Amino acid sequence: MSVIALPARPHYLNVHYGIRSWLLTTDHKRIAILYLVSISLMFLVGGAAATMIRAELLTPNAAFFDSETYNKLFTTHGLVMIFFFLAPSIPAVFGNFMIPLMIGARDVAFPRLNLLSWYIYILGALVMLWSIINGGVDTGWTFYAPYSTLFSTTYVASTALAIFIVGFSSVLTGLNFIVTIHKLRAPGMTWFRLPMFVWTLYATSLIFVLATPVLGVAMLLVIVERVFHVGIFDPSLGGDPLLFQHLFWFFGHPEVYIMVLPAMGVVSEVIPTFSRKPLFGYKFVAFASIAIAVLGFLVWGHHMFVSGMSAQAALMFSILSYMVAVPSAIKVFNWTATLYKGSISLDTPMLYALSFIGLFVIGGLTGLMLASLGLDEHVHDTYFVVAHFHYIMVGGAVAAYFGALHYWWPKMTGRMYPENWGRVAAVIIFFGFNLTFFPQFILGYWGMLRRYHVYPPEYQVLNVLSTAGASILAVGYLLPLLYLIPSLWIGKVATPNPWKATGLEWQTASPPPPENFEEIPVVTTGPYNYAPEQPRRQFG
Amino acid sequence: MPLFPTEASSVAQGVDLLFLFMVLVSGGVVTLIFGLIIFFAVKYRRRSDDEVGAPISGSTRLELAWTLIPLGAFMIPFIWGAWLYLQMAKPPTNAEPVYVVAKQWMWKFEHASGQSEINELHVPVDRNIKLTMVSQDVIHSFFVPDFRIKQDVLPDRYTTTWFRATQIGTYRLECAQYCGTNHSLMTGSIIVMSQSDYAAWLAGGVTAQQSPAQVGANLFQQYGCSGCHHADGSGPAPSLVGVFGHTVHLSDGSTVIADENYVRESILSPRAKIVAGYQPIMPSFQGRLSEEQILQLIAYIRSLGSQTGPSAQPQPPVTSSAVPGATPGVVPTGTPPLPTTAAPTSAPTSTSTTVTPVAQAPRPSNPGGPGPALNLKGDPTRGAQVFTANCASCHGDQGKGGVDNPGSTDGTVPSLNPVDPALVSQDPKVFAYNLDLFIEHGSTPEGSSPQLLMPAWGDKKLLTPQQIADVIAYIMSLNGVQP
Repeated sequence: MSVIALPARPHYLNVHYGIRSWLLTTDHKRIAILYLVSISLMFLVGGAAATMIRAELLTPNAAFFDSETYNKLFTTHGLVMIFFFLAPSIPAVFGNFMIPLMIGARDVAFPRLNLLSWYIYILGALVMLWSIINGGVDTGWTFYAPYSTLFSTTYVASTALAIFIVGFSSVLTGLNFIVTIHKLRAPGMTWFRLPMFVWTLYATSLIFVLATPVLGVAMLLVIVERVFHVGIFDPSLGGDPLLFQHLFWFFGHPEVYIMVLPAMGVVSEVIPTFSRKPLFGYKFVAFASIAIAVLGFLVWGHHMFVSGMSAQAALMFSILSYMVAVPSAIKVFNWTATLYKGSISLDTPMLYALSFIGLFVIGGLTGLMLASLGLDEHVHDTYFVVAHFHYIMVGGAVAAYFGALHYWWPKMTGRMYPENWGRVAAVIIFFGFNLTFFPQFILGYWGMLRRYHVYPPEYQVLNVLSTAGASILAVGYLLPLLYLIPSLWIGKVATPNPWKATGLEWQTASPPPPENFEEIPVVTTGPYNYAPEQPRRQFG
Repeated sequence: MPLFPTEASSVAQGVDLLFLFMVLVSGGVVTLIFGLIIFFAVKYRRRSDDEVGAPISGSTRLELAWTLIPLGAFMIPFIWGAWLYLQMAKPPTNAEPVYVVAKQWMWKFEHASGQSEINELHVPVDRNIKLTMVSQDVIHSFFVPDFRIKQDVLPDRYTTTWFRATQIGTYRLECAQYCGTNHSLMTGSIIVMSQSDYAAWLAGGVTAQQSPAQVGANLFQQYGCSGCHHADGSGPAPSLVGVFGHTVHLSDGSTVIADENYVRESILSPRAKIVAGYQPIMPSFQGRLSEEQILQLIAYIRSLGSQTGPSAQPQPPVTSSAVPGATPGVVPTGTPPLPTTAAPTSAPTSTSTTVTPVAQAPRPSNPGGPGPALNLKGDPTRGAQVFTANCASCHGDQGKGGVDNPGSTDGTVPSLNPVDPALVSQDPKVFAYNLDLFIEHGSTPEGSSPQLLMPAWGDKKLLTPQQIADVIAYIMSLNGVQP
């Protein structure tokens, strides 16, 4: 299969040229590239806000910004990173590109709906950017009422509208994936022959479709109360502020799994590829993904342990939060076991995948601490929580996103990235990340609260360390930009299957032809069949 | 930097212990996973370009192991954390109430004795403090890192938390729930004082201060509540005597416990819950009362709460003829046999003791036997100085009493000059013994929610045995008994 692609061969990038051919495309691969470019720009916006936050926190007192500006910065950072980068990141880019290739289809089920999703995303992003440029919003990404509905004087309604809009993009993408996975699998591609990435995106799509509408409702109600003074959340109008929190976190906790399930999918692809070995416990990992998606809907109350909820409710949400950690633990053990007796090569995607496991474990274990009621009362709303969810979302999800970017770069662009630069960036990101966020665990236990513009001076040393780490992390994130973009022209031409992986996406050319496969493949084995001549066996 | 922030409350050590446990176990798990990853990555590194791994697809036994073991292990932090949480959630019944009103961006406190403070809360060490909190605008959160407690403060709904400070000092109070521009400036101090300093602080600040219940009683008249809510239930509205803390039957057949939130709702939204047998005629006081005034009205209604309703029990509650603080009929366990008017250990040298009915001397509500002060010789002159510094703020100058103690049955702190006659004995040893028990162990006066409590001067080492002996000698001299 090591046929070098000839320049004249038509593929999805060279089959049409011009701006119209991109803006009106219905090719899932081109739409993925549209998403890649747009979410990268939003990542820069969110990253700029993060940089300013960390710079401000170098000193205990106000240094660069006043409190109102600082509050807008962390709100912008959260909103942009969660709704405009992390939620769409792996699903909209790599899911879009890879699901049809992985299941042996020519496109997603509804190609035009797919393009509409991207336009809705762009519309939401424009409304968001308009709100930021006009003055910004200061409610925190959580929009807690009645602050958001009655007290804030910033651009709350237009921002809520942006979130409302962008939610539809997620719903349509989820719908598209569900139908695609159900209906367009190649002959022989049974459910248990699906690559794990497809399983996790199926689980993610369920959450997209079921949870995002609740967010839309919550945002709509914020707008209604704010603009028309209809009492929904504000008690002075007869509303209930905790109702907002219930609505928000009913979406908000599944949202965490929207971000981390696809990352788990990437890791479940990368580790078998770079160990040349089947994924350990395939069915357990697959069902664990579905279990996470289902149980993730039942734990939202653990964001509200100190909000005044009843002790009975707190106990229920606490024990359910421990339940939802079990399938995640199952996955971690299976990934680790996959390495056993593998043929391990520490290429860039593998470095990201392994760092995902380690950082996800730390994020998960600290999550268990937060689920413990007595401990949560102390660390709730402190930097302990900030560190915890950054370990999951940055150490976990963003690392997996970068891993996916390197892993599938040859397939998507037809060029190799420089391997050594890739490894250097991965190592820098790992160390920069830990230096940024590990001190925040200590700060949190010491009582430093999140969303604090000025803080007691005894917390300064750890904050300076954190900011130093963030600078290293910024270098690590910019580095791929510097070597990936030139590789489009000067990179080594990629073979169809540079990693010698087994997935269907590697059996077609790099970059793939517009119709993905010259002939729809017929599938006869499971996804990670690295030693077809040897019978598969159980461990022990 | 020490491992943990200061542990200044009764729950802090427990929280830290759970945290330490989880950090150690988590550290072990992280080391195991990182160790395995590194070990496998080195041991099974790829040796040749076309090498493949062993075709191992899984192991049901291992899957079961790493499903069930974590599931079981997770029950440890769940149960441990829940156990801590339940302690932290329920205020002890003897906790002293403090009312908290939060607003952008300040904290207002009102003590039961009437002192109010802004961004500072003075509390005595080793005493349970219960906070009843409400916000005037957005959601805030009461957080004292050194106490390890946090509770959101909501608009239009009371939330409560409690703490017992265990160390004298000043601790940072912070708002933990994002509340707008100056969120990070919404900080304050919890000032934990020795019980004597606190008593002095309470007495020293303001003299003509009224307690929230007293202010509430005035508001009750002023806003016309008393026009309908007659104490004897004869008015068009239900009597509020004996209501607080008890079950109320509603017109729709359901019942509700009359707590702070119920009373608040009844004042602001009277039609939400109608008491069975009454008409919905009460106007809403929404917007007419400040948060502080609502809390004061509740304090007043709470003070009526422990009184028995007129219809339910016609007999007035039995009041102790002894000093408030005595719990009639309750003899603390662990107390040695009580010497009364005669030394019981000696042989019956006097015949009169057996025929004279002996008045049982009142005992403090807190258990414990006599302290070491009884073996020391007290000096009334030095005792007078100790008394002035520590006791006079409640018991009055020269122990003449008269200081208000709202919430107690007597309404005032008992006089020590003259002291309750049941405590007096011409036998100096017996008299000293009777006084010593109160001073050593302290006492909670009888009543619904007495706001001044007798501290345990001996148990808490607030006074030395010699100082206690001196004070005993002084009080005996005030009552005409030579020590």
